[in-house]
Amino acid sequence: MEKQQTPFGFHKLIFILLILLSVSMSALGRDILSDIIELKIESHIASGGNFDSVTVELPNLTGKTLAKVIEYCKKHEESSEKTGELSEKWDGEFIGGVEVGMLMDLFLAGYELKIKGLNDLAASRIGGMMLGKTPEEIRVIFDIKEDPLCKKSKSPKEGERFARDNPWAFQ
Amino acid sequence: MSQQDLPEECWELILNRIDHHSHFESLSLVSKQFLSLTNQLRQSLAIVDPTPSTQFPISDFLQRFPNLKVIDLTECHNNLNIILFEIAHSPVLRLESLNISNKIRFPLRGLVESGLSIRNLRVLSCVNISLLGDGDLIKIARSFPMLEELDISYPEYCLSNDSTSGNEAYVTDVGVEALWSNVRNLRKINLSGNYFITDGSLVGLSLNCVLLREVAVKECALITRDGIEFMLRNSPDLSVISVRGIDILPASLRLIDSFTCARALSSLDLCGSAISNDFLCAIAKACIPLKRVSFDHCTNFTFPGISFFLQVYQSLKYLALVNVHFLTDQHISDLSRYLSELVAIKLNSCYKLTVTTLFTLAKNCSLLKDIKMERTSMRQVDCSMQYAKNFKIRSLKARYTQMTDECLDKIALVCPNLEKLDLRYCSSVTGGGISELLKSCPEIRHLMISDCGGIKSLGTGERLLKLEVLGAARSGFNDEGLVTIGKRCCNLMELDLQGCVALTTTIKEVVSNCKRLRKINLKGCSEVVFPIADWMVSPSPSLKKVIPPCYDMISVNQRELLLRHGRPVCQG
Repeated sequence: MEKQQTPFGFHKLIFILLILLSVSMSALGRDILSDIIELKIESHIASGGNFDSVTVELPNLTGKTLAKVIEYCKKHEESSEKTGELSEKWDGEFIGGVEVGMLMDLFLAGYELKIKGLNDLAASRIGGMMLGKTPEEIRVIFDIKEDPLCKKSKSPKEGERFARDNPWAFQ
Repeated sequence: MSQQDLPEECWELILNRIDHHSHFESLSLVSKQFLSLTNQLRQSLAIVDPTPSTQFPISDFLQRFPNLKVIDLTECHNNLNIILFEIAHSPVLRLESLNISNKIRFPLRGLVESGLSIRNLRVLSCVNISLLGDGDLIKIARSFPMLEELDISYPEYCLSNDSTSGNEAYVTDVGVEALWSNVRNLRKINLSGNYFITDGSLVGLSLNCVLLREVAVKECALITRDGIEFMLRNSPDLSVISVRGIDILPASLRLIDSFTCARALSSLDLCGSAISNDFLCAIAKACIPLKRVSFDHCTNFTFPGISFFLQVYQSLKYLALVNVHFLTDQHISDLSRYLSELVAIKLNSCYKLTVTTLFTLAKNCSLLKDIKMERTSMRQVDCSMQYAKNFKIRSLKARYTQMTDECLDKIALVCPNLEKLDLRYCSSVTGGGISELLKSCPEIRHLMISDCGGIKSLGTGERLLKLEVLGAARSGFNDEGLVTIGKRCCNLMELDLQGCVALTTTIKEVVSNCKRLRKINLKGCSEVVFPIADWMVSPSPSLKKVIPPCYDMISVNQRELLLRHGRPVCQG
């Protein structure tokens, strides 16, 4: 029972790896497919594809990211069999040393592969990185190119009102 | 990849992780997408005085934040009826909770108006209102039939009745009757401090509000043991009860028996009551699902009684034993065996307790996070004592404890993950002690050292990235000390230096170094050069509230100008 509750098991990831490497998969049982892979394969077969040579594309997943994802899942599968105590500290160290680009990739991987723990962990870390920063610093860190008060969308008067009201909204 | 490619729902997931909306101010200025997302995620809004004298459109905010659920008007005193009217007529609002505490007059008209459109209001808080009467309560009951939580505690009584409305300026059983006959879904009610409510109200509530779970009736002089007993017997779901000063004598068997009938009771607060060992034993034998217990200022019980009680309730999360004079360090050492699940403990004013108790608790209670030991004795450390580090303890309140540097040093070693520390009125602590503490406890966020005359600076060392709130009113801080704050506390959000008369320099440097500073209090720092011109050009864009050395030193025009920058000048 314990094993079934892990959101995304290690063996499933191996399976994704196999898919990525386009290894034949007919020998593997369907029951271990995660929802998302299952859906993708179903749509692949429904559109007349060959079951033996299905490839599932996972956007933004480089080998380096995947290695990290596997590291995460493996650790969590291990620790869920023992105690939950260890994982909090391990999670902190795991996510703490990651640079921004990789962090965003991990977040997306968690999101796309529906690995909730990883998704939450990366989201918290990204959120934490935003605290106490000026808007300009946040734009630089996360490579965001835009200004809400740009004159294109808001009339100068509207922009002025926004600038006046905005501090009040955060009293 | 460019992060701009991230889908909107991903950013939403990330921004949702940010725990307080005060961080949204900066985020809202990042991009249009962020502005829209933060506006949607915002659930609570506090409207405060003073507002700019120009017409201030609350409705703009109500439109800007479409998912607002909580509005707090506690610090808003002008134009209350107009604001409530706007809230009531906002087409987008799905309000669930409204707080209109601390008012001189109950904003009846605006509230009735809003009742017409926010009938789904679940939580209403009206604490500390002068002239709150039965008429008001009747209107509340009729306007908000879906109410689940109501707090009308501690009204401020005025001797002269309000003659204009013909309203009796206090709540009696008549008002409470309107409540229990109209608001059937009531789960939580706080009637504390309403002197004219009698047992009849409790009977009515018990019989008619079947979902009632939480009741507070502290300082209700006319409520007797009979009312409490009736409620305990007739509200089967009652899980939280707070009363004050009822005498549970060994002879009052029926009352004792009624406590054992409350099968859902999880939180029991009997502040100031005369309880007995018999009562404690009876409750212990009843095995009710107690998680929180408060026997503050209780009398007529002794160590064997409380020991037997705690031996049975070993899963308690919260225990308060304020002003229980017989407790010694040895007693706590004996009791701590039963407190393995405890998360918070309050032992204020147990004057025989010393720092040894703190170390015993740290050693034996592995889940403990929050300790209050105000007005105990922390003067001397027992050197023979074995220390065990406790990584869970986050908060320690130790006001009026005659704390010494030596003692503080040991505490810092035992509790390395402390986040909040309150040392107010500990005049023996020096700057050296605080400096060492900050080395050993790098996680400290709140540090209260007000009224500690011995502390003149934070000392030198690494930058204190975690420190957000520093309360140093009437402490010994001088100009050199102020420099240490500016240098080390770059993430400070609140700074209180009220009454630090030794300060003579300009505080401009501190403000420009602390980029996140939101509130600063300089009241009574009469020698401080207050750089009024600098405040205008905002050296610290986050600054929200300024209390100058002297209110009159800032002219009306200057105040108006600062106000328009969202920076109200307060009298403090």
